[in-house]
Amino acid sequence: MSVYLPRPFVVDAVERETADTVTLVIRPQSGLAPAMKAGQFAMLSAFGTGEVPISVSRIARDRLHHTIRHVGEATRALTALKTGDSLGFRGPFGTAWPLAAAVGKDLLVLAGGLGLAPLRPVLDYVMNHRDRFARVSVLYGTREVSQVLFGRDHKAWRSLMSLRMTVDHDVRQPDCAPWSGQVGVITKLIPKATYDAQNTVAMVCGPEIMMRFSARDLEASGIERANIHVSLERNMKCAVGLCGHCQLSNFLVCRDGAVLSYDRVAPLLTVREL
Amino acid sequence: MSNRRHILNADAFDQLFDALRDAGYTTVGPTLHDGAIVYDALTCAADLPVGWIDVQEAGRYAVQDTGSGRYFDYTVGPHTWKRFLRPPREPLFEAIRSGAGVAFHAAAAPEETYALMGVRACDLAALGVLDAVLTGQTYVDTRYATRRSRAFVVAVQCARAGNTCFCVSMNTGPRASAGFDLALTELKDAGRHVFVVEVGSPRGATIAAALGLRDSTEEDWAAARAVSAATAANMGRQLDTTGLVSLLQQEAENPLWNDIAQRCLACANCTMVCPTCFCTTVEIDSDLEQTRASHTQVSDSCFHASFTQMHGGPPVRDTTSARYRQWLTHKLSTWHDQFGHSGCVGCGRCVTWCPVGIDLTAEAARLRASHEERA
Amino acid sequence: MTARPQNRLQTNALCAELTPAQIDKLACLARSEHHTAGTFVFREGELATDLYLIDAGRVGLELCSPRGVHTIDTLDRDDALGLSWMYPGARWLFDARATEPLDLVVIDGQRLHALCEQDTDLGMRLMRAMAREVIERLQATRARLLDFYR
Repeated sequence: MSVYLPRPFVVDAVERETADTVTLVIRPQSGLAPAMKAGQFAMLSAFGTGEVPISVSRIARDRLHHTIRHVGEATRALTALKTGDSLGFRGPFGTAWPLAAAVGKDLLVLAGGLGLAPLRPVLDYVMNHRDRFARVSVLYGTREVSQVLFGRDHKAWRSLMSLRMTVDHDVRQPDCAPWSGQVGVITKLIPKATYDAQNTVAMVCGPEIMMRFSARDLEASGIERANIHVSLERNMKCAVGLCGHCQLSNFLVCRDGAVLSYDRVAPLLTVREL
Repeated sequence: MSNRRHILNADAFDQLFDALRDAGYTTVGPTLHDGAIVYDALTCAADLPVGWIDVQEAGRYAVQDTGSGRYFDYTVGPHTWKRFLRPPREPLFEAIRSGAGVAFHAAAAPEETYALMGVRACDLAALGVLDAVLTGQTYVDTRYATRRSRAFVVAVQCARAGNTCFCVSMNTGPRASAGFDLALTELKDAGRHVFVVEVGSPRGATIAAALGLRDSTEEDWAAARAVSAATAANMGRQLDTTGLVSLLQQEAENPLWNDIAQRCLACANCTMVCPTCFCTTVEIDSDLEQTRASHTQVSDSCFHASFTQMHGGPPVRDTTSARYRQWLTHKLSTWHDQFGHSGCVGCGRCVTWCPVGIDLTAEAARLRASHEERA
Repeated sequence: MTARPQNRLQTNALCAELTPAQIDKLACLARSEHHTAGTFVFREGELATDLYLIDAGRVGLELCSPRGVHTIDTLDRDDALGLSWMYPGARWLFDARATEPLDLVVIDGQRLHALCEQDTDLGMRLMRAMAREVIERLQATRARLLDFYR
């Protein structure tokens, strides 16, 4: 069987998240859904367009959720899919968030923008296994209130963990409910979270600069780089380590990542055009 | 497998072509075409560039007829064996839509069974490098694996080193000691014209047996090794690889990359002629009714802007400087981290076929000198 | 609101470098204020005379325009609210509105100036903390200028 051959999947439901972002709930056209781990991704393709790497944003018993933002041709076609439509699926690929390493410790989840999607399976896991972790804090930053993802999950999350949110820009219309979170850069939330830096695992996902700024402040607060995990994004074509596109120096991001510990990648992220 | 050694008379060379054809192989190898020695289908020994040599320098390539009557006195040209084992265009699958449903049909398995005639030690090492990338990881490129496992390899031990050759520096040649089915060392003097035939596999032994060859003598074998020793002593280029893996990664921001970029045209010639460059992308063609879409894997190059394109911004490697750095650093340094060995085999093609004559061995040496100056 | 001003001051970012004796001196200048959610602590254009230290609750720094109410920043417990007291005659650039019930420690800017000049060690330490605060807010502003979620 060719590693390049997609499996036909069907859209079971479409959940609109924001103006440009939807969650596709998908299942195989036949057979069982593959086992995916939090942090892993699949290559999704609408008919006639290219494949794009999309992290799994919820792992249900027989359904996979993938949250997709319309940023280009392939994602435009994917976000336009309707219930009952077909799509191609290859995966799962890549490394997972190190949940086992966080058991018994404080867990710090930092999400920026769409970066909350690859981390939602972590939060789902925490919801189902809350007793396995000490303090759990979620720090979530987005551009503006309308970009906040998964609002329907927030109440449940708040019942079992601390959730702090901030937006970079807030313009409130007179008839709108006021934003209850903060305004300002996500790193401002870090000093507000309670964690034992010596006994914390941090998982960070978002735009690369957001991850760098966050990791820098986490490190300054005493968390070792090896306990800070980030999820990198590069141009992936094959997802199986055979096409060469997603190289970042000594890493093939699709094979060695996308989740990597910060100590391994920090020196690479500041080299220009690497 | 003991390396049994035989003697094949040059005037019976066609028998090897016949035996390979009888065994079901399509023989491909060097032949003269449009003023270059390229790889193409061969039916008999006369299809080889008999008597021709190539003259190579950075940015220069020419062929000359020496009238020597020797079959293999040139080195390597613009083609590599990847053109047969991993062609520049590979069908992957077809998506066929009916109603809301879709079916994916994998491309038919490749049927070609090649005999690669005249594989040099550097290129044999390059096949090993491709094997590691395409068949040695978790996921395997099955089309390459299929062709590769079927391919019969007739190696040739180089009797001449080109001016851009540096296999000795890369520890890949000039003598191939394994990885072939048969290996030929051409011996020609006033008295005789023969090949010393080394058998490297059971498959090779079968073919050798079909030829009914006589065993070689100790003198023949000594003469064959002397050929390789002489070639090793005449390398046109050398590259000091000591500590190069970490050195190049440390020099990622050396201004010399910008200097190279002043000359580099980002034409991607080096990646096309490189026997180990494996990068690909995917092209999609769909019919007008949007019911059928074929996905084709095509060769790509890290010199192309689209190679690192991500949504909503310029390519990650936007400048020629960054692209050249990626290519050279990958070959000589990060390949080691990714796959456990060098991505360069010292064949010298990138040096010869660079239209502006950028020499990877010279650039690596300048980076080393710059590094050591500051150390 | 029952804690002594000293205790409420010592956890504030601006007091991080002060000695207990210096915090006591500062506390002598302090008064408490409570604001209910939705009310303003100060308004754009008013004279910036005092330094506000947040003891509990949250403040939004806001600016209104025909497009709506822009929230520039939010400040929480142990943050300093309003840095303009340093320059006599300065006016507030934003509205400060309590978005939650708000407890403040308010220090009279004019008397604080006098104290800093009289106790230069206290002045130095306070200015260093102010500078840190300004740098952090500048860095945060620069990070937001990158608009990296787009």
